[in-house]
Amino acid sequence: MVSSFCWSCLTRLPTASPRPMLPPTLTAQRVAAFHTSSPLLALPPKKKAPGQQSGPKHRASTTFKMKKRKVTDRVRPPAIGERKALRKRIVLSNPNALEVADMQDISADNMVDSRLRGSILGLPVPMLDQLRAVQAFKPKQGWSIFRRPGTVTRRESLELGRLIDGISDKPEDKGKVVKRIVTGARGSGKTVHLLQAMSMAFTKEWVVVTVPECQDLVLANTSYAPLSDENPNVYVQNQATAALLSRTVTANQKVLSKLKVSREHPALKSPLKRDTTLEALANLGIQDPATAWPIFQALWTELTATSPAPGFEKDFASRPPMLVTVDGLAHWMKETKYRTAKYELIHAHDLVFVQHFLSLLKPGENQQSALPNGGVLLYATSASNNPGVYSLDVALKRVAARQNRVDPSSPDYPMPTAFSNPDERVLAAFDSPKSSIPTEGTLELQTIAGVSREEARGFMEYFARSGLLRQQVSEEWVNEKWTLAGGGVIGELEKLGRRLTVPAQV
Amino acid sequence: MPPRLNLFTARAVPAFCQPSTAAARRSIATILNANRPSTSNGVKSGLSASAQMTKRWNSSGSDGKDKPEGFKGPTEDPLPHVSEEAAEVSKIMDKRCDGVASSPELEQGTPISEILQRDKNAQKHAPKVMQDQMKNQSGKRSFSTSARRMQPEVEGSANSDDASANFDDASANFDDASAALVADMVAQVNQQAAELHPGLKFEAPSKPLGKTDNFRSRYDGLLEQLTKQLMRHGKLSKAYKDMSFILDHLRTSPPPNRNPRRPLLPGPPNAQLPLNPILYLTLIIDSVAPLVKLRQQKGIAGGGASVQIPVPLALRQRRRTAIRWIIDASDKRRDSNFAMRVAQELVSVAEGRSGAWDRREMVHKLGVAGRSNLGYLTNRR
Amino acid sequence: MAWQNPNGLVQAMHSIRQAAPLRPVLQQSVISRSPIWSTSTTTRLPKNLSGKRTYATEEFLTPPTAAPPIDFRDPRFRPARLVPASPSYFSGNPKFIDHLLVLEDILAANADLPTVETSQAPRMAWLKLPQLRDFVGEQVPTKKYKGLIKILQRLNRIHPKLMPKEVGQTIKQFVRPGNPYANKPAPARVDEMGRARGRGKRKSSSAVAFLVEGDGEVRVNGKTLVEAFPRVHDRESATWALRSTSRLDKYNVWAQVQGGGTTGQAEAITLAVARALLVHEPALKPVLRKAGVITVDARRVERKKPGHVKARKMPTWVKR
Repeated sequence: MVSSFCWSCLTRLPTASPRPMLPPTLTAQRVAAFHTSSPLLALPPKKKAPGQQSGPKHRASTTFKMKKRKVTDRVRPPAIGERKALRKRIVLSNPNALEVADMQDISADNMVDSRLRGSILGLPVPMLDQLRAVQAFKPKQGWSIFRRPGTVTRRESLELGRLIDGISDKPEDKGKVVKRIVTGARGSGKTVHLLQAMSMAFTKEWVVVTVPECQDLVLANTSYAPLSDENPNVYVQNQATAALLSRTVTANQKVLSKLKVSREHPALKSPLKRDTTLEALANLGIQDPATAWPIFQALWTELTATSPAPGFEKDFASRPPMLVTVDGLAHWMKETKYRTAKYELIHAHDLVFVQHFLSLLKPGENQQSALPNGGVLLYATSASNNPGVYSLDVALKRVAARQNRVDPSSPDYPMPTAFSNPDERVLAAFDSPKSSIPTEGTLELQTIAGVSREEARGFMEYFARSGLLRQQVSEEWVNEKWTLAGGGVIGELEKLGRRLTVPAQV
Repeated sequence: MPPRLNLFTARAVPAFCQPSTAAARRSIATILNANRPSTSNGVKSGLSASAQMTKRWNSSGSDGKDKPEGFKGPTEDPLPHVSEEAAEVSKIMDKRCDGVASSPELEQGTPISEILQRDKNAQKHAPKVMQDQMKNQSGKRSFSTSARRMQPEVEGSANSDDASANFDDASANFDDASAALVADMVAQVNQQAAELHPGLKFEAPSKPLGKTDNFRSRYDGLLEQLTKQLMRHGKLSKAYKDMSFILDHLRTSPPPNRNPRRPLLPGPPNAQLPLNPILYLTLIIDSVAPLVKLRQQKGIAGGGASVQIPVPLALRQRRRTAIRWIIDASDKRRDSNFAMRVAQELVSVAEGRSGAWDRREMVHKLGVAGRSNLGYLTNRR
Repeated sequence: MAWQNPNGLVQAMHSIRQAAPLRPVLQQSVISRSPIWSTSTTTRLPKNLSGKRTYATEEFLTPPTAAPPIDFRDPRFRPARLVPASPSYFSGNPKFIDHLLVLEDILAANADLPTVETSQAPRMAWLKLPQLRDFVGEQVPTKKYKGLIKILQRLNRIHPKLMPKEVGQTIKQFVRPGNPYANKPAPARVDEMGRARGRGKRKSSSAVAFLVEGDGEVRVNGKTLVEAFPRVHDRESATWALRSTSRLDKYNVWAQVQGGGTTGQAEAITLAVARALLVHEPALKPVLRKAGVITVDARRVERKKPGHVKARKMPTWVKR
């Protein structure tokens, strides 16, 4: 940019005349500071009187020193969101690590192959974008030290693979719904279990809907509003719903772009065209978050439709099975940080978003299962960031008891202790009776424990073959690590595998 | 070989009633797991069964019926018991082979048949009498420590059956080599006696213990030193966490572009460095470590002027100085995470960009310049 | 060897002994009658005039032949001054030195007897320094006390079967009454359930560990190892005894621990497990010792003192 002054103007400024505007003050220096002659004009410095020395007096302490105030130049604080982005950053590859030569990718064939138990199945590179879109990876799962992400094939994952394989391919399992709550100790692999389920569902071209972090919906971080004037006690979270739509669309684009709408949706403000794909439908909600909730409902109706409405038969294609995963369930079992107009805390079950996902645990209505086209519900609790909710503990014990065929009327059936004042809504949310539809399973509790020693060995060999472990992986060594990991808790095994030690030098 | 201890047959029976020893060994785990919900059904039976089993494992010589008054601990030496029995049996049977072969058996208490089971070569050349004994042996090991593990015992008997089939063809030429082999066997018996120390239940730990096998010095010396220097306000576990972060950073960051003017010490090629972070770290720190420090000595030259004298540093001192420089240099970085700052500084040292190199060069320059002052020290002496 | 230490007095005494064979007569007359051979040294008074003067400087002036017997009734032969009974009379601790000389002589006499290792020798509770001071009745310096103990230990290492009776008796003087090492606790045993029990302490924590043969399950206060110790370092510490002997998959551990923080609890368990393992397999002791797990760390937090800010920190000095 060019200055509006020119150099010549500046040089012609009247420097010679003493400044006419300000009268010279007495205290001010008589000459300009930059004038070279000022030191000459200055009075000679006064010699100090001998009695007034500034140094330490006789016998005074000489060690005392005034601390110099450090002049710290204030650095600019990091930009908004930068630190969070750094915290949530997920690195899936370490180019320094060695490529494991014969690592297979997860595919429709090998996800049911029990010979592969204990080995590592890689996640296919094209699928990584999908998995990132549904936020399947968490920052501290140790993906960042391997060449490419891979998961251990353990007993639970093989069983899940068989389940997903059966629902999508076997005619006798068609339309089957499995509802599971996944619990387990900290680091035992619950979230990675969900990730494996997602990767299997993607290979089978299912529709995957995920809530990667329940806490985000109750922390009062996203906007909320009463759902409508009719029911002011129920709240909708438009931004969160739009984010859910966006996750679903990005991850399932290939499937959703093939499916067309199958009925009218009167709840939407503007009527849809007949050949609107489901992807386009969801995009409407992403573009205008105010309509996100009705659009999500419309999308859900479309995905769970078993037959088209009259007049829509032409473009109807049967809907694929669905995988619904929710991680960190306990946050949905207590009061949120949101407030009502009366400044009372809102219970999580008053959020429509939460209501919708919890209602899936119940048997479906209208002679339909919760997922009429079949699918798997996997709701995981978390152990590392977990609010203690007593009612949830009782509810989960009840689920386990029912699974063990304990009759609810028998004295063995877990009851909350007296005066514990349990949250009835929480107990009711998991209190799902047997469904009348044969394909719909009841709610189950799956506890994920540590891996077996053979699986642990496979995992440790993966470390060694990636060049990250310099010990010889022997039976004894693996057993030691298995014990140190509290009986094969896989998250702890991962920590032990990446832990660097020096072999003993004798 | 007939079982020299008839009571062992009585002993083996209850052990075989169990499905397998592995299952029995797990039964203690069921005690431990008793508070787990999954095992709540079978706890009672598991408890009682395991109690019986533990009794059985730990009784040393025989069943509880034979010796009701004295429970014999597993640490007690069962061997003299065996050898006494063996002596009696051999007296009765009067089937001694030559005196040499049977004597170590009595003294050491280790049946030669075990050695023969392990060593095919010795089997071939074993004395005739022993071969005969081995042919019609029952397959039970008459040895108390082995009762703990049934599996290898069964395998061992299977092996010996195979081996006994091979005996017949080789039995002709045993006479010449037998004397040497008996001596060999005696040596082996001695060795095995050393192995099966009476105070051990399992085989002695094979590896000799190294320096890092000690409880107090389990980490590499440099890692320990760096960790302790990373520690702030006495928070050691945070320092360990930072240390592992730094090592992970070295492992994941791209290999350094080396600066030829400020080379690292010779080591593996660049691309291999990140896969061995400890070596990488050692190279970085040892490369930037100064060889000398400068000591300011007053009055040595007279007149109260201070003189800089270069003093050589030991390895640990050199490393300490280098680490301090690196941490100082890392304070100028902007990152808010301390471990991240140090990790980035380490990489920049490897690439020759760090301020630590400048300090090293400065110290070395002054050290070279101050060589002449060393004369003061020697003169003074 | 005590007579090689730089104690000047001891050297002087030694030189007496060295020179003694040169004068057989004198040796007989002086040393045999010297009170250091008597058992009740404390009762002797220096007034005893029976001995001759035995100073090192004088020895060489003495003619080698025996002098005629002296008739002490003759006033001419009365010594001009009192001669001390003990040659160490003019040292700081004469009685102590007498004891020391006795022991050194015994040692010199029995130096060539075969010895055993220190660990094999019977464990003796020697008199402690205050007790020795009481016994001798003198202010024995610490350094000389240590020298005495060294000689006693060397004498104690003589093979027990070949130990001369006089040595045993002399040594016994210096043993504390009621040898505390004599009554040993009964060796721990594996109980009828196959459990071995060990206890350990570290910092403010104390732990009890039960060890059974098993397959590597560890429970601490009923929790798994991971729940009990989130830090890997602590988990490693707690199982170090089993790890270093490669028995981690052969035993199950059930530990109860209380007090202190995580590090203290983990290392208390280390000690407890190591001791329990020694009950199962006593022969592992050298390995465990080398692994450093049966070494008790007796350090505790130093108490705060009045007048101090912390245990040792003093308040800052203020001028006024």
